[in-house]
Amino acid sequence: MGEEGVIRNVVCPFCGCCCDDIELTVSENNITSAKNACALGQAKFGSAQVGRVLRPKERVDGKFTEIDYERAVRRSAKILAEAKYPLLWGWSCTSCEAQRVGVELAEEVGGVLDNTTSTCHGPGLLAVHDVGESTCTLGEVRHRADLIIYWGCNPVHAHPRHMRRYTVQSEGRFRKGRGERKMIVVDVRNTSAAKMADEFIQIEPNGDYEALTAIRTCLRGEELEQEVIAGLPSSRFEELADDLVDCEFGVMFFGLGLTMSKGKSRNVDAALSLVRDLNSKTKFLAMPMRGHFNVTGANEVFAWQTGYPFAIDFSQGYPRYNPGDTSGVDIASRGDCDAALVVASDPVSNFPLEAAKGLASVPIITIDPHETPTTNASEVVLPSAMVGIEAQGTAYRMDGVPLMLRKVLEPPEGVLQDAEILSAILREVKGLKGGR
Amino acid sequence: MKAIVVTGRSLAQGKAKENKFSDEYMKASAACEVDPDDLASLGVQAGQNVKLANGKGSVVLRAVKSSQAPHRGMVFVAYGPWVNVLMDPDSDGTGMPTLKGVEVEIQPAPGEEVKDLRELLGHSPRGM
Repeated sequence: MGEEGVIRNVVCPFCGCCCDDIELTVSENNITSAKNACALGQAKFGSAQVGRVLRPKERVDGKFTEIDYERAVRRSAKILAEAKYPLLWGWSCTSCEAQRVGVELAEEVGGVLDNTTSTCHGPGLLAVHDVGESTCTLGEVRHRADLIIYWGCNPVHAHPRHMRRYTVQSEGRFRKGRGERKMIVVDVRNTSAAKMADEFIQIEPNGDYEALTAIRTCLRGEELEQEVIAGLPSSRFEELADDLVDCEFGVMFFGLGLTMSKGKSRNVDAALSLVRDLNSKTKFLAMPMRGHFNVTGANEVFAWQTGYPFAIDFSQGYPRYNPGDTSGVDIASRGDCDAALVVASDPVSNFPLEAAKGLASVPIITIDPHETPTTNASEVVLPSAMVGIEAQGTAYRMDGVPLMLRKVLEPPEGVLQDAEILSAILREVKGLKGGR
Repeated sequence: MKAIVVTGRSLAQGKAKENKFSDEYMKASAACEVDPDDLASLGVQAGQNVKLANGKGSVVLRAVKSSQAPHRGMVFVAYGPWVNVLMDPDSDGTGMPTLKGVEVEIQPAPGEEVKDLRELLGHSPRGM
């Protein structure tokens, strides 16, 4: 049963902040208010009522026909079991419990298991493999940090409560608020977050690697030979290096400005190296601004089960990891996969069009609560309950802290949860593969 | 005019993304935020359409006066299927396609309409 009345301490299932102080008012299986939620959270809690897929369906002669779950599961299992190289994509907007079943299913069908990390902070994880990462929980940031850098991200739009709950505007044990913390923003635009900063450093597009390397050079006491770096006078980076060293506890939050622009993993490599260098002079940490509420969980679950956080290829019978080769966009754009399972994601919208076309040319099975361009391009669609609203489960916050998502509404009549659907497909696949 | 495209999350796009076929999603994702001086150089007023094109494709978007200026020579478009027409899937061996800092040619598009989502993606074999 869903709950009624005021429900406190609900975790928001939108972004990687996973705000756990939401107060929902529920009446007659509707959320009538979401106190403390940001605009993104409000929209997510409100979306339970709109654009839903209510019945499983399959494509017959080019048109969708409604079917029951049993038939949808059988058809899905047949497609996956017969495929030579299926792509199992998505996973960042569902629970760890569903992700765990996904790993077993990917191994069983010998497919590629990839989550949306590969199109957000995947390059950052490649940099972590190379450099390592000095990091902490958001609680430590709240209580101790006196310098916050947002580099290549705009939390006002993408993580609206990040500053209020965890960083410059939060009230911690040892840092009482905005007056005791300095905020620096490095970006290519004068964003809403930049307007709130004590210092805004506007670099030119694709200039991140240069800028980060210039600061590292200054920290080592070496002279910058170029007069202009990333569109700015080199003296600007000398000043910035001094500012970074002056803090007692600094944290760099970095966004997709680093991972999606020229340099990609090398940009994050430079950022993490800068933070490592800073630790010889003061205390400094780094953290990626993770987008989907459980993309960190997808990395955790996949890594503890397979050893790798994303882009895992089971086609040889054991897990292999080679992003750029075994990652979703690359596989779809090369036309390598011959079937796809999409869970809680919309790659047809989010992939570059060429890759979206490649994906849409093979049979797709989609498990999703809402109608999307991907469900419309699918061969089989299985509606699911919204995780964190109609289904409980575990999610990992961007700092790696696991939190319990609540079930506060009943899903539409007859609609199952991701983990249940995936378990049913797995059972059917095992039957088709010889009763293992 | 040559320009650099930067994509990203916007509050409006994030709010509408659970309902991809809504007017709100299209309004948020099929818009191109242009520096006011670049709008003047193009001879385009906010609300009029512009066409962005490169070797990957072309797309018509509604021009919006940027509130995050100055950023001459750079435009911002929220993540979504419209801007993805212009994006190269080559990930440089990382898994991540380049979605920020992409070169395009931008020009006024009087008389050309912004396609809705079904029209934009309607060329798939399965009618995505």
